[in-house]
Amino acid sequence: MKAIFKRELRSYFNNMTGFIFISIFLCFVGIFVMMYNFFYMSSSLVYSVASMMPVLALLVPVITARSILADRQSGADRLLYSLPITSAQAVLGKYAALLAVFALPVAFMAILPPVVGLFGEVNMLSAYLALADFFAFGAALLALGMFISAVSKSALVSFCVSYGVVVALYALNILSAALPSGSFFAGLLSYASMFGSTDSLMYGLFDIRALLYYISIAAVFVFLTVRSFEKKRYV
Amino acid sequence: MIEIKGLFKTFGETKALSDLSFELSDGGIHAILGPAGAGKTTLLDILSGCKLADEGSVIINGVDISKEPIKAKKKIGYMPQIPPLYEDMTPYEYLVFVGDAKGVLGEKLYRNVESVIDLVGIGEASGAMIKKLSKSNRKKLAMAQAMLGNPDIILLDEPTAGLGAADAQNMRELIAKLGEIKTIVICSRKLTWLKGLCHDITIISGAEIIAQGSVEELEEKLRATTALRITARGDEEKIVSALEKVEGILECIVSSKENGVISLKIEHSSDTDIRDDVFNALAESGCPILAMDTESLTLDEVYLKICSIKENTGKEDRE
Repeated sequence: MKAIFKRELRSYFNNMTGFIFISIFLCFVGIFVMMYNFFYMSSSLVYSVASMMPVLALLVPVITARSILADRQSGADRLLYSLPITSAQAVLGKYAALLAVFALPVAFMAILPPVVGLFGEVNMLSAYLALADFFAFGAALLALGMFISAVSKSALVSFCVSYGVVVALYALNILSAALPSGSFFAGLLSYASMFGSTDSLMYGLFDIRALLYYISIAAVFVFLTVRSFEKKRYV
Repeated sequence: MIEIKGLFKTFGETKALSDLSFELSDGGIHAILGPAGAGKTTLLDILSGCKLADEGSVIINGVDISKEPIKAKKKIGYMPQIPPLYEDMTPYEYLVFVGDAKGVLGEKLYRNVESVIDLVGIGEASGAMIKKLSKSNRKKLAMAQAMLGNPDIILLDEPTAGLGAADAQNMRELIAKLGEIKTIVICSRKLTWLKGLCHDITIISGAEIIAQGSVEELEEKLRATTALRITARGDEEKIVSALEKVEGILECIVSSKENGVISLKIEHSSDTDIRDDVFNALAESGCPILAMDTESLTLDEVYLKICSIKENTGKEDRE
């Protein structure tokens, strides 16, 4: 698994996808931090983190669209199937590389609270909990994107389906906001959309249930990706 | 040793392998021959663990690949027909990755990588990106990755496909060298380049084994037909109908006709000498023979014939 992880991580930076992802990500981080913390003079970083969620959802397909598909298209998947490793190890190695690419800009975001704290009083706990929530949200999206790549026949289909899913999830969040607050369906749709914790973050509330929910989503889609990868040996 | 018992594999409606059972002994070079679509690549995919059979078992040196896949795969190196390469790596990086994934660690990994690079002869290209490698070097690199981790058995699927004559000869020499220290299983469509290289041949066609044995045994068993080349003067229809009455003739093929002179190739069973009968038949029909020569079918021609007979039988069965 370590070998797969190293190879995949290197490949994101051998071609441009890793750099494109990180640079666009950090560009938006910079915009939101400037806007909320310097123009609006807020000491809270949670607004920037919450605002990054839709941006992240749109950026994730850039790195996930070909994560499984590329090997199938080039024939390199035969190598993975013939190596003395399990399908789970192959998929987890790829997923770990995706997480590592995502972790790099998040690690940069992690130095922002003390930096912004030089100019005002920052609630460090709230900021880092929001970042943890954000990282779990990203992990769930990465797992979903990787699964879409595993079941798609082409990169274009993978991109389109990934963006379609993101739009659908965001639409669910908007729908949940339109329903009476506190109702069962509003809560259900809010969770299903995966953007539900954005609102509570905006109010500085950290919901542990959302964190566990994202981790569960990530686990489910990694499992489904392993099953899809393994299924190719039967056909 | 590789033991294959009752292997079945279908892809939708298509039968890729049908009740395949045979053994390949330790050591030496074994060839699996067959036309396109015979099931050779499917067989190698199953032997290497890339695919799972619908039924049957594959036992690699005492390890059942379906029950202990990781243990079995450690005994195998596989070179698919399309080299499974990563274009964004150099050959050295690629081999380090494959060796690491195969569980070769530390100093041993780098020594193993350098030794396979020397063995296949891609030392000069090992620093360039894989996307810039020639077809021949790609094949060599694919063979190098199959050799990493010191597997007992190396599977090669069409190792010379797409190579020019000189590169194919180099590959042949490399395989011969490897065959002295490893068990090699080669899949190929062509018989010619395998003669003198492999110890035994298994011929697959239409998802089944149709012949198996050493090259000499197969030549003896399958050389059931030889051919006679004649040139005669007369009407084509008259000549062909006269020859059809001769016992032992399997097929008459007209190769040329010009100015009332017909050249034919007559295939007949090798246990009879039909020259006298042919002479008499054509003399009776008033068509003098201008030239006559015997010709033994090459093993390639016999092999092609067997495959086409098998294919035609399959078509008739389906109709």
